[in-house]
Amino acid sequence: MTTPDTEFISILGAGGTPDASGTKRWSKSLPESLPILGLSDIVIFPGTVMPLLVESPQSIRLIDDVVAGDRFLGLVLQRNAEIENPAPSDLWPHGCAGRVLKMLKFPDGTVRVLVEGLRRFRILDYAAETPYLIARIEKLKDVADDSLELTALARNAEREFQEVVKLSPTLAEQVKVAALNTEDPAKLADLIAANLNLSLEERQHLLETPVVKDRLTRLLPLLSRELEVLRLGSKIQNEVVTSMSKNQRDFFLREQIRAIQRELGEVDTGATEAKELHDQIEQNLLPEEAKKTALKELERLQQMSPSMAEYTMTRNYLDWLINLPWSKFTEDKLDLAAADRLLDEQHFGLRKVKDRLLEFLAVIKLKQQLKGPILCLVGPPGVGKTSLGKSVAEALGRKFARISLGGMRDEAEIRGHRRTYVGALPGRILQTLRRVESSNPVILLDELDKVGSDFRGDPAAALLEVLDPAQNNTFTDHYLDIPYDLSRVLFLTTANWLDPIHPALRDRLEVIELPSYTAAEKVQIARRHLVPRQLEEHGLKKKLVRFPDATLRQVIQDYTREAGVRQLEREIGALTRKAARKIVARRNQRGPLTISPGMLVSYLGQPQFTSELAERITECGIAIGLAWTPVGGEILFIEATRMPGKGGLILTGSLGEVMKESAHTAFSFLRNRAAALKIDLSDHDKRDIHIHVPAGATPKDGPSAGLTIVAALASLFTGRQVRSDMAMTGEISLRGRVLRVGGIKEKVLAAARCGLKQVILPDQNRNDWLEVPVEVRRKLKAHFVRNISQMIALALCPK
Amino acid sequence: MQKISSALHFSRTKLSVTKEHETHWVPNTDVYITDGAIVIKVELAGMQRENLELTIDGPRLRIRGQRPDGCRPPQCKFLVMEINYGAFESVIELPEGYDLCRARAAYQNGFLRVDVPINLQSSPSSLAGNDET
Repeated sequence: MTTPDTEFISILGAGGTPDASGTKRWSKSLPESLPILGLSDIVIFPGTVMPLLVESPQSIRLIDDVVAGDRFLGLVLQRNAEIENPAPSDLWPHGCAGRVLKMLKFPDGTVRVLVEGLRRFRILDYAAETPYLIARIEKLKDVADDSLELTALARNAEREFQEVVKLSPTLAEQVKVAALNTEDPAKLADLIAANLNLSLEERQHLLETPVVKDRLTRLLPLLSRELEVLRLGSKIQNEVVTSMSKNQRDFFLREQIRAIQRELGEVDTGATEAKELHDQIEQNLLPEEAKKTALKELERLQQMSPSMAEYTMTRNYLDWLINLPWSKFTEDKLDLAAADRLLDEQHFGLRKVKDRLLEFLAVIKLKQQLKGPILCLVGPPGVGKTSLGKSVAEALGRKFARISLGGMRDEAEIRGHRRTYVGALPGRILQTLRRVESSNPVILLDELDKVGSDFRGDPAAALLEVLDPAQNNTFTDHYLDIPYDLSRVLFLTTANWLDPIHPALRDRLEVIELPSYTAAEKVQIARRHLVPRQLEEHGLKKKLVRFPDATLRQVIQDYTREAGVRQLEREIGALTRKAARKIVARRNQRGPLTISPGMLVSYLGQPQFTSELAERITECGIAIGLAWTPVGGEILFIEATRMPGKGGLILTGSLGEVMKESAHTAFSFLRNRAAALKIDLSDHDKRDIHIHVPAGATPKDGPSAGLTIVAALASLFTGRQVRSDMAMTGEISLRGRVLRVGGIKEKVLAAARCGLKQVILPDQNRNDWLEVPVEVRRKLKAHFVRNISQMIALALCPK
Repeated sequence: MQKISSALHFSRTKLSVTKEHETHWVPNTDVYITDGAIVIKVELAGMQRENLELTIDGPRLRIRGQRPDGCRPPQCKFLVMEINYGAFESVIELPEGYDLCRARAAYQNGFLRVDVPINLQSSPSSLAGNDET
């Protein structure tokens, strides 16, 4: 390895004396004056190496001279970055001495230099200003001590700096290693200052601080701030990255599934589904607003994964939106004659009601956009309200739907749940429209008087909007949240009585009353509708069983007591079953089976309602009254009796306030007129009077029993029986006048049904008598009275 | 770009190439281990023997000197400047187990090479008998 030009060099041992002159010769220190290079945007610290770009001719001249010379220069920050050739006053008074390590001139004349910071200095004064600044300098030594405080500061700074390096994206790992290897606190401080993201002023201040402790003390808060900023930054970054990567991952997996499905030849369900929905939206002619919402929801749907709960929700909503019959209407058949025929075919009697309905249809014919009142059919159960509604729909050629409001107590049933709820659905109105697939059906709101209400809201209030023709063209369901035009829907309502209906709702209704049927009407209904229907339901041919009218009449009289015909239909059903059994049993015998009245006892058992005449009035103090109930008229036996006591009046039988008052009125009247009526009431304070109205469990109220109570009391006091074939109704006044009452038709029908022969009615009700069917009027004799005396004369039998 | 980042890590001990005088430059230096010795190689072209001084100070070897730029006229304009002239210094702290007293230095083809043999007394077991010099 030794070649001829190898020169061996002596190594001086530790104890050896080095060449004194040589040492002196080489330990060249910085010169006393340095050319000063102004820096616009950087502060060089001792120990750092920085590239600089020099552009101004003056500075290039400076670099030329420095490179040709000893290569030392002073690097001083300018106060103003914009100045090209700074004057002494433009420069900070402190700088860093540096050495040019490398220099490269570019063709465009600019110069690139690599400088190494060596030592801090302070400018004493400027020795020259041309061609470039030369200043006399005072070299500044780092002032450090060996105090524990300094060590602690340095360690602290190093630890924080390591953190900074770890978090900072711009600082290289090298810097970390360098910091680890720097034990000198002064150098460490400079290293950190050079690498930390600091403002120029802060850097300059650090450069101007030769006392190491002060420098570190100044540096530490800056380090902490930087660390905080970086931590926050990295936290934000992390969050962004996490959410991004989750989205990307989902997207990637979904793409994979699609790719697999394509490979398997399966169609991409998501895409086809979306396309189908899109087509449906286009085809179903949604109104502008609904279409916009639907397309927006569809867009959201496409971005969702089918596994998300939200997907099903949105999908459901879209289904509803699309499948509602926004612009589907049925053509109206508006042949009045045909409608009349149809109503007659399906319902017997009810002339007045049918006329009203036909008028209604006529208006629809004249004015397509019907904004008329809402019809309300009021009547006892079983008189055919619901089936009338159905007939109206049929006559119009519209779809028919029935919504039963009975027991409904949640507003959401009408108006739907908000979409935020799990399993939310639109209200019954929209559900019905979707089911019938038409926007102009006949909707029958059944049992309007049985709508409930509780803490969940009041469905009646929601119905107000539905049933108001002025408002319901923008009916907004909570679920759909888009206005839906209900104005072309024909709403019919039914109720047994009007009292429980919300006044505001009642105000919107045009009431059509359906009265109870008379026995003759019932016979007709049974023959035309009930018997054929029952026969068909039981699989019997029409000719096989015959129900003579006499049989039907007997069934109506002895086995039913109702305003409508439901019970009658059940009884006919029972008879049909018996007949069916008989027909099957007899086999070979031909010919129809006739059910005669005599067979009824063996088929239906003993009559359930004996004729009232069996319950004749056999003693004094009893009178027959007439009552109106929502299920038709009734007769009442009012009983009065007298016993030793203190002159009190006892009233029993679940009587209401008004009825009790009319009992007192009746008693007072009789006491007042005792002499005229030849009644001895001298010992009335030694006797108690008791008035009882049987069926004690049924609440009763109203003033119309006043006349009957007077009759019962008068009978009791005079000892004359009331005629047992006579019923009466009427309100009384203290002066003995008989006043008008309601429900005459129902009451009279009840009297006829119960086999009575005479009725006493207030004179003011004469007109109502004319409403009563002729065959009933023929059966009953009506007496009209103006005052109680007339009644007493008519009702009480002579002694 | 950091001067200080030229510090190197050895497995167990810390070896550093530094300087003590701030105005001096540091020549490029290799340090490597061979069988029985540690070799320090310094890139120092254009040197005269008298301008080079090697001293031992405990575990540290100090190489310093001055490189003159003899052939350059006083008035010239540089276009590229990458060679350092003037006073330089390199202080190498050697790991334990090498005998600096038996070190030999040679200057050849512009490289200064210093061979420091292993210390036979302090670590005879690992590399005994491999001393070629």
